[in-house]
Amino acid sequence: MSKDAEFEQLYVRHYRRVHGLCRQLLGSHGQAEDAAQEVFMRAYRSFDRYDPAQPFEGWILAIAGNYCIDLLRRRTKEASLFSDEDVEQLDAPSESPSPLGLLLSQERVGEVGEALAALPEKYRIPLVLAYYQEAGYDEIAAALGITRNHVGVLILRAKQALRRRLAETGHDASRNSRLARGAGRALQGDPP
Amino acid sequence: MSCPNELELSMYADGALEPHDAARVRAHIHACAVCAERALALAQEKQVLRAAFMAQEATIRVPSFRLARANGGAMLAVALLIGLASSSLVLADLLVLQRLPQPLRWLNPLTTERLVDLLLGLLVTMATEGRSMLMSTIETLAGAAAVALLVACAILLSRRTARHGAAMLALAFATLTVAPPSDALEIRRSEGVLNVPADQTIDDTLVAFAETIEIDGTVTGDLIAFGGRVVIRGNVQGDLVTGARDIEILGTVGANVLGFGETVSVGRSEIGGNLFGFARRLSTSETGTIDGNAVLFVGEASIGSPVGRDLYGFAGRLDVSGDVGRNVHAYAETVRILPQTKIGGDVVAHVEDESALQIAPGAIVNGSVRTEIDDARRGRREPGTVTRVGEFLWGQTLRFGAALVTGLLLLWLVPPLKRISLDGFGETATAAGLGLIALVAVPIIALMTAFTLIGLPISIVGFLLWLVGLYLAKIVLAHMFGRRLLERIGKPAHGAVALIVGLVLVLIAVNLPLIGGLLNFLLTITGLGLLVVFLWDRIQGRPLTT
Repeated sequence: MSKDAEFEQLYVRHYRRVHGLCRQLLGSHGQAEDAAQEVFMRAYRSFDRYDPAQPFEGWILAIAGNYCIDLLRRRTKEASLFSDEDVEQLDAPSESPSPLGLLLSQERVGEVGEALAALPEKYRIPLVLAYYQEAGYDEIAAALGITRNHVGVLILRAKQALRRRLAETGHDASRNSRLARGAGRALQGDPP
Repeated sequence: MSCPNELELSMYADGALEPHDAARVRAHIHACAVCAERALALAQEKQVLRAAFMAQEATIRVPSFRLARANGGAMLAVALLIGLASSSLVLADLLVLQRLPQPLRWLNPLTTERLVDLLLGLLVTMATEGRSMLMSTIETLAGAAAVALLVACAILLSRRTARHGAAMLALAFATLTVAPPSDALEIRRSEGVLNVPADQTIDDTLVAFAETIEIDGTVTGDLIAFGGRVVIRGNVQGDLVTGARDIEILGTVGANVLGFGETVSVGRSEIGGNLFGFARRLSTSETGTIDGNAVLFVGEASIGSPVGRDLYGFAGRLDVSGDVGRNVHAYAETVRILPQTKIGGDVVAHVEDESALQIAPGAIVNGSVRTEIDDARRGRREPGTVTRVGEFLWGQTLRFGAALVTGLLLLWLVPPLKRISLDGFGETATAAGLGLIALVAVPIIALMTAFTLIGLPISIVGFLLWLVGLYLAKIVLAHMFGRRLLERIGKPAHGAVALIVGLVLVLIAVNLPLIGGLLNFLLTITGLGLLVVFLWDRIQGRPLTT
């Protein structure tokens, strides 16, 4: 198979993941599309250096992660996206709901998506890199120019913020769905 | 051992603790049911988050796979080469441009007169020297294609007075396209004099290119003639389409005359159809006749011959001494209807003030005489310094407003333009080079495309897009400058604020004494190049989305 044909197959298979990662990192669909194209372009150029023994997904997601972080850096025009001011008190008691709050399960996946999009950039980026790109803490620390521990703090804060938000919307959602179910039954003449 | 804190547990769940810390936490979890439960919940939470990320992928559309993108290095090399080759010419031009007092260069880096000269020169060159380059089959429509481009140029040339330019343009095209295709066609060319002697009859359409074209004989079809000087003393039974520095029509033309030139003079001549004249100076003699309408875009017009129907004059000065069968519509600085002149219908003059329309005693106007004072032109005469400065500022304000509105509309329609950027000298030079290529090549390509019948509309559209591109180039660039500047000073913004800041910068830059022209040129080609790259990327499979 020619290089182009092989690459095209990989492109079709992995485009969504790359685009998705770019979107999560950049926070915009339009920018993600441009970024994803650029990422594949870069991958194509260095395709000769790609080791087929390694998973392609990991390789291209690493390119995508680094590219998006570069973009974000350029956007913020700062040497580092994450300054030391972001290091927070680790021992402060957490007031967020327990992780169990998220386990309301798959039917809330959509809400989780919205909550993710609403996260501040400094929380969202490490979380996305860790859980979406599946990068290790060391890798993230190197990419963002912060310490490994700092990465841990930011990811924890991200999750706490998510839990809080989902706990808030969860109350509304469960009340609304109860109301909706009740209204549905009333319309169909079923006993409530 | 005390329970690990939340951070430790979180990092443990992510497999991110150092081995000895991880071992300690693992040992604790085995002994502590609460922490074990929390660790499990954290692991499950991670799965839910992953699922949430994945779920969003389902909505993503995979655009078609395209790889080819302009090779930056090669483009840069080509751009530099062309840039170097043409820079001396460009600089010479700019020095000439500098003498012009008005800041006219916002719309077009080339002056309109030069554009016309350029195209005429190009046509003559192509026709006289380009024989080997072009197949004879595609040569046949050269005249028509050239006319299409020249009409556009002529409109530019007479922009100051041509407020109905678009309509006239359409009309001019219509006359060309409606004309039935001739069965046969003859092409002649010469670097010197091309003469059709009095005793010769050409039984088909003649396309002639030469420095001097003299038609003493008869052409039974149309005559399409481009050159330095065109003289018609014989008889053209079809349309006459001609472009030259000097055009003299002394013979008979059975149908329409479409003439572009520095000077057009119609002597003892009969024109069976309409006369469309685009010229600096146009005169028709009292011994000639025009059976149809006369539509003129000229600096100075002197109409001595009778006009069978209407006379439309977009002119600096318009003198009418020949009878006009119907109405006279004049958009001019001065309009004079000379003695003994009979106007069958109305005289409507769009002028600066009442005194600009003079109807001599003895002239007869059967219809009404109306003077419509043009506010936009009022008070332009003999301006003082303060007026001139005021006018200049007002002009710049208008220009700024127009560019702002256009820019906002453009950014709204095409949001990815907000993110357009140039990083480093390389990209800037590439963009400028591409812009220069586009500036020079598009009209040439449009002309070449027009040589085929199907290509004619494409070439017209291409040419119009080129003009639009020239206008938009600096607006897009201005937005980018604005955005960059605001980023530098730590107040990032895009959209209206960036556009306003950028436009102000650009407007100041292009009006700077001495270097303004050069800056304007560079900004235009760079912006044009940016647009080209942007479009190219989009064509390569990046649909426009927000």
